[in-house]
Amino acid sequence: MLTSITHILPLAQIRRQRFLPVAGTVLVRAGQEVKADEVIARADINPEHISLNVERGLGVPKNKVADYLKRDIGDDIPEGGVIASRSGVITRDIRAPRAGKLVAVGGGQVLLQVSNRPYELLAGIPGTVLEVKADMGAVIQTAGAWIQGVWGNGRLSVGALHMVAEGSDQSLTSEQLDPTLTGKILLASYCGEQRALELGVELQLKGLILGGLATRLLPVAARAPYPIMVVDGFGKIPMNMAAYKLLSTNVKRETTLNAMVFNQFLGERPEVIIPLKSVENPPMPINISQLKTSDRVRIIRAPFQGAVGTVNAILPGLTRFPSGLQVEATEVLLESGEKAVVPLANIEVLG
Amino acid sequence: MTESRLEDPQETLQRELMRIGSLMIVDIGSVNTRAALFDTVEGRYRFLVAGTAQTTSNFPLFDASEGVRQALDRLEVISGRKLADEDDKIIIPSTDDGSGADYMATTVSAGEPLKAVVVGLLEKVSLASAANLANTNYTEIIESISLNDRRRPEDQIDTIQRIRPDIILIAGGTDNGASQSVLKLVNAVGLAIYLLPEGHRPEVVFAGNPQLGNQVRNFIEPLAPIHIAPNIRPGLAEEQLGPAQRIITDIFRRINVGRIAGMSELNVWSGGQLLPSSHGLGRVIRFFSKIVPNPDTKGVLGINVGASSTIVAGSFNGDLRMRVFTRTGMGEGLKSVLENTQMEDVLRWLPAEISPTYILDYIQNKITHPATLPATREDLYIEHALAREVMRTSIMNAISSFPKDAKRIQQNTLPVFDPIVVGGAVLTEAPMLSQSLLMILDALEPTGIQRIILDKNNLCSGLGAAAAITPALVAQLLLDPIAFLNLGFIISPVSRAREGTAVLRVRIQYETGHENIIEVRQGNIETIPLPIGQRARIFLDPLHRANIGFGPGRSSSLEVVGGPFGVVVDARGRPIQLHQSNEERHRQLLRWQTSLK
Repeated sequence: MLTSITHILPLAQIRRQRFLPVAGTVLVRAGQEVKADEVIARADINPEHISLNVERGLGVPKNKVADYLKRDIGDDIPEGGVIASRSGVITRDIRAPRAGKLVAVGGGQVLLQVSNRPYELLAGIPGTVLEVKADMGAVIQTAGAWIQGVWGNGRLSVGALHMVAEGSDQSLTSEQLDPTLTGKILLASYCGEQRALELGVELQLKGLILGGLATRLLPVAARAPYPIMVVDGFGKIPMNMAAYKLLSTNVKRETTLNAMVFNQFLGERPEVIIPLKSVENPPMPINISQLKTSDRVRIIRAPFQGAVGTVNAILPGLTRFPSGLQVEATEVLLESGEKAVVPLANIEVLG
Repeated sequence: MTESRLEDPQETLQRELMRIGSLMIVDIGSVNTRAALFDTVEGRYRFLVAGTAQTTSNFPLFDASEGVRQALDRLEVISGRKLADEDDKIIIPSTDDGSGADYMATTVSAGEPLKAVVVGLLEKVSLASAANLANTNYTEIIESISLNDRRRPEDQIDTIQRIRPDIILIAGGTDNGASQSVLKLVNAVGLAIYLLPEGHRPEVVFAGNPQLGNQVRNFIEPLAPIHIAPNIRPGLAEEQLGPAQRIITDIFRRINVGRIAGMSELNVWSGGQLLPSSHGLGRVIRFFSKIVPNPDTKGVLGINVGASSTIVAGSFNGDLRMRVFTRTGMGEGLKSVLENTQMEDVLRWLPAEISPTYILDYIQNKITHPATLPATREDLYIEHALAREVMRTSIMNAISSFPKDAKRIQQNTLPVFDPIVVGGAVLTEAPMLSQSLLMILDALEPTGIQRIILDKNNLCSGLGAAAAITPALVAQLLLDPIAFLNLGFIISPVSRAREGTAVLRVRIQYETGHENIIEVRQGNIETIPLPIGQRARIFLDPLHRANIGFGPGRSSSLEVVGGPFGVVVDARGRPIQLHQSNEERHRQLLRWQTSLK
């Protein structure tokens, strides 16, 4: 059976294609070092349009408007620049209310395209620009520890990693949060307390990495101005030991938390990257493999949700579960020493 | 009532069998890719084998054909027939040594729904029809623009710029009706398209006042691909979606072939007729509604619950009414449950105490990992409760698109359908058939007399696609008990009697001449023993003015065929009355479950 791989790796070569949705301006060059939160390209993807009624403004017939225009389609016009004018005893002008470009004329009106704040594409990972694709973006590469999550609130930041969980199964409470944590990326296990997430805003946290999150807090987490990433899933589930051990051994290191929204179509997942610059050419991870014995796996559904272990055996035929379902299954030797029989559909390979 | 067996168009089929040969169907869903093989055996078309693999159109493979190959590998293992050559190319047509298949039909529901903007004059007329048209396919309506829109035209332009739709559907103006106001909307749309960067421009369908067709074509053609369809609202009270639907299907095919790797070759293997899965199901249901006896009095209903979307197709003597509910399903589609359903609506179907917090977390975990399966009993309870809600909300939302004059036994109930064809893994792969049937009865609450057919091999969509090659094949296979599982006759009397009151007396006359009389009480589900496939005549005497479809208290008799539960009488009333007390309700649900032995 082919399974996709979730990456929880102490050292990997990580490569990202970072491209604009439409052509724009690329701000970096090949070989350049970039930070995760650095803007690498910019594009005007959401222009705003302003319609100006020349017919009414100048008091001229619709079909004569073109005669009074002082600009052509495609012309850039500064704020206050004259677009159309009618001289007479009193000269009447149609001026651009904002700087922009004349994009259309018709029906007695002109359409001005004005720029909004341009879309800024961030590097997303700290690293070196491997190559640049003109007008679109760049490929960036780095090496380091890499942990993928299952949910992110769409924000990104860089900061020092700090552990507030004293174990992989400890709940995060507001009592654990104090002003000494300002500006840090926190590693915790489960969060089921709304106040804790709110306090994170007041303390200006740089980020929060959780094993599990109560689903009812999703709206609060989604609104939080700092990045929040969930590693394992929803509910009172501990952070899987593979991720917990890896993160807890990297405390105080500069960490990039890119809590991008999980996109199953594109495979974009929230992630933590802890760069290790001294290492050259670490292995490039693979994204899919055939499931086999000795694979390290994580269980992603109850029971044993969040538990990590190794595949002991892929069971022949179909196995009946307490739900009554008879499906293909595997026996997993958990890190606790316990053996668990799990539907093949309920595991993820770690690698 | 006369016997209601389906007609078997044998003669037509024999001619077709000579013409066709073997057939392979493939359906690419958002989670699973399913393949099935059919061939002639002893002069009849037979379903041979089915195989399932994970869909691979998304990360990390981004190639749908890989999942198809894996599904075919499973077919090869089971059937022993070679289906792909040494270069991994599917063998079409079959070779002299029996490898491959003569025809292939492919349907797809995987991938992002098409982003649609619908445009119409009046909200409740042409705009509603444009939305109905969009909803017959895998589209997500991101924006609606109408004449009553209070936004400035430039704001509408900015909206289209921001959305970058895949498709814009414009309706408006009855035949010989409004023209200037329609052209005004077309102008605004045209300007918005003109301002979009090339390569990001949508396909445009104009399905309004036909007199404007040429003008609209001349205006839009230089900017974007334009398709002129027959008016979807030829009169104020008349809606005609069929011809425009076919255009949307072509656009869906073109976009998916361009967007998803592997689709192009699958489309070629399928003779250029790759279809949306919904369209395949719709074809089967429409076809079925033409061949059932008494098509004027009963419609045919199809419902398929997928991971990302749910399809409801009701057909009334060939008049197909279809709705695709994208983002409503048992995987990613559970987002709609989180957004639109009250927790009480889910809790009421659980036969045990489970905390709302656990259910919320369950839903979110399932959205995150849609391919996972319920391993514990509690998780299965939740899964099945959610399936009921997904089906219930879908049918409730689809019901408005059914004809107003469709026969109903009681107001605000489902129109009378026979049969009801149901598919989707949550139903077809439930551990027990009784669970599948109860989910269907609880969610749809059918009334009167009907058969429920379970598309246990998930063949409907593919067979619909194959109907273009061989329509009679569909008819024969729907009767094939190996391909489809007939859950048997369900009799649902409608009555307002108090719980425990006898509402139906059933006398069953077996082929052996033996008779049995059963009295069914309000609030109960009863099964009347009749072995699978065995025929019997039943005489139905409604009591206390209960209605089984012939009027309050009116008797009837009919020939029935035994299903896995014999014949089922669902006398729980409509709507189904659930106890308020948790404990009593749990007992009630478990009692209904055990009634279906």
